[in-house]
Amino acid sequence: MESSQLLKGVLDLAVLAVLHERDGYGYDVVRRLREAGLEEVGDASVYGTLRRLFKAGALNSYVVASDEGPHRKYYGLNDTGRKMYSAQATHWNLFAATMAALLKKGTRDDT
Amino acid sequence: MTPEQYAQAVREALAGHPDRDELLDDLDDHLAEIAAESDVPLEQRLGTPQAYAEELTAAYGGRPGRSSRRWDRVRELRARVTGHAVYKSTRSFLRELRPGWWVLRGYVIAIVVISSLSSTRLVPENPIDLLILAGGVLGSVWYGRRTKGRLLVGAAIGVNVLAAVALLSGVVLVAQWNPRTEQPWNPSMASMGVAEGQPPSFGDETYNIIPYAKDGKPLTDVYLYNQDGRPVITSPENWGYTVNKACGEPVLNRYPLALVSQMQEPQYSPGGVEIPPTPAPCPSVSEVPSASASPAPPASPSEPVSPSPSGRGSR
Repeated sequence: MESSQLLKGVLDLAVLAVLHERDGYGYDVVRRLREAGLEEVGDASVYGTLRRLFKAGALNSYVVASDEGPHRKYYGLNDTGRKMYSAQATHWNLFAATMAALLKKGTRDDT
Repeated sequence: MTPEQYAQAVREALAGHPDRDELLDDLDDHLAEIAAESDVPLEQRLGTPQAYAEELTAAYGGRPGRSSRRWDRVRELRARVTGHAVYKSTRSFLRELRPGWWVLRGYVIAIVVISSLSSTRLVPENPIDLLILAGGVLGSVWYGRRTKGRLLVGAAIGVNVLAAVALLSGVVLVAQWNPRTEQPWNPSMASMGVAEGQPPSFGDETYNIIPYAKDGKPLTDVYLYNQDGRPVITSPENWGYTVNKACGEPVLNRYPLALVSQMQEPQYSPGGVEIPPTPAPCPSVSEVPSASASPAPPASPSEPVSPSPSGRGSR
């Protein structure tokens, strides 16, 4: 399975995790996801995800004027976003543990 | 492509998306940020604006990503077809033909109107027909020449389709129209030579001739010719009879013909009261009349009476 397919399912959680660490603007979030190892993440996917999470009421946003470049719209988690993050993180951890156990079993049967 | 142009292209690609304005609220700033980071063009880094818009909506929701991908494929295919040289040359050729189509369309519409007012016809038959025809052609050309303000494009397409259908049915009508007869076209006639204009016939209702002398005695072996000296031949095949070939190749203008029903039942006239006695089934060839031996036909034959070798008698 391509990692881009896997990424689709967990992009929300990845974006929430990045913003849980600290607030960020759109391209900053993309860069941080890539730096964290999700190199295939698409700019438009992140942008669309940010807008959706914002519309869903999980994020707050504020504009920071910049002297040298364009205005930057920063996003951060609000209470709803933080609850969403912890719930999804729990789900992911359970899922990841299940998958890890499954793969471990498959590997043992192979040998 | 500048960030502004790219953002505009994405906006156009998302035309119709219910949340477009909200979704693209800060796209310009976002793209400007990306553009400021590197000199590599945006299209290289982000793909085409259309692909960007598709990825955006897939992540945002509102439109199912899969179906929009399918539409993208359709759009791509369409672009490939419309960009093809053959398509372009065909299109420009058809454009050149358009004035001709306008005239034809006007003619067809006028003929449909005329035919619905009175009897079905394919050509104008009176001054009123001509007037309607001129109006139809002029109106159609006028409509076709209008380049702006085509309010009723849908109606125009409908009219074009109707005119094309009427034209096709007109073609079928012409194909079935046989000027020689009011009867429905009989496929066997195509191979009968009747439609070829020769030899002369007595019309489709006569397939045999029973001659009588002045004293009421039936005549046999009467050779008939027309004013041009050509043998007068009927088409009994159209009525389910064939000339009896029991005595060899029959002479087709020697009446009465010895006819054999295709049901193998020799007879002369169906249900006729005055059925003449059966002529000698096999008249000898020596009985071929000469101008002196028997009442001469109106124009005496200029050629031998025997069946011509060209195969007219082989039918």
